[in-house]
Amino acid sequence: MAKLEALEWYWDEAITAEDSVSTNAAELNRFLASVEKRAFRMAEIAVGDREEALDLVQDAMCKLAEKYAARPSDEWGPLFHRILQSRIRDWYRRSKVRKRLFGWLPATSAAETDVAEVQDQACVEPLRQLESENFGPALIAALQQLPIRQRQVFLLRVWEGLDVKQTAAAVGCAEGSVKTHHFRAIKALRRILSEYDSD
Amino acid sequence: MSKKNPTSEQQTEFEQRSRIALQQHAEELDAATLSRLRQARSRALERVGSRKKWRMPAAVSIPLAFAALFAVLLSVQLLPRPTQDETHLFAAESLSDEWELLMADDEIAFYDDLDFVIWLDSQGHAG
Repeated sequence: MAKLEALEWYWDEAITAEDSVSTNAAELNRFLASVEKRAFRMAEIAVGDREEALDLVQDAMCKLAEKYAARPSDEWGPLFHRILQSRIRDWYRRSKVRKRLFGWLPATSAAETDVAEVQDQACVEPLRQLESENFGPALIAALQQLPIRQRQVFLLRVWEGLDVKQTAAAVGCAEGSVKTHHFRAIKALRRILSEYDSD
Repeated sequence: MSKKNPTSEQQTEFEQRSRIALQQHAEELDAATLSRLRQARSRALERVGSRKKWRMPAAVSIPLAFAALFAVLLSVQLLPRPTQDETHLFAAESLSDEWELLMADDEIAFYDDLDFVIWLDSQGHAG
């Protein structure tokens, strides 16, 4: 009899665990659906390539699902951005190494375009965008000119609405540095986009 | 007293404007990209709960660890150990072999082609 009760208890526990996984998956699906577009655009602005950006977002999603799905849902936002930003930094490191090792080879595809080239290209863009009086594209091009930390902090604070502490955790720097990067990013963007200032 | 800092007001306005522009940029994604993002999401969701590790219960793992340790100690004790003289002899032999190989530069090619030399030798004896 005791054995039967133990078996029933074990069975109940197994069903509860299964339910909890499916609830987590449904909740995580809603969360990922709510952030995926912004995450993709952030990655695209950072690396300047659609395919690379899609890969980075998918990696971040997979890692979040695999390692942190069981964590409380309010932690997913900062965790997801921490993973994504770390992936973006890794991408930059790999690009630098690739450039050092194979810099003498002619670039054959968009994916092989290095960071410096992306930024050089971006330098020309704001002028074109200013002429067309289109703030959105000009802002994107101006963001691409910023140093990586400033851009990350600006996007996470302004677009994602993370607070200073969450941004510091996502970017991997001190809270004081977040404030400095944010201030410098806004100053630089306003300078680049001065034509669009309403004042 | 309630006079606002114009710089901070401008900054907020700039941030708000940027947020709207960025959101608009995100909403302008083409169907192909949206589809890829959906695929990425479903791939990620397949991994939920897939990282459950099986852990051996302590009641099994601890005695097993002791048994393994005991087996290692026993095998060390039971294995015949060379005497001190034998140990020196083995060490000296292997060292001299290595030196011989190292010093005879022209012999290395010979070792590389050993199979061929053996075959050649056997052909010579046969013929």
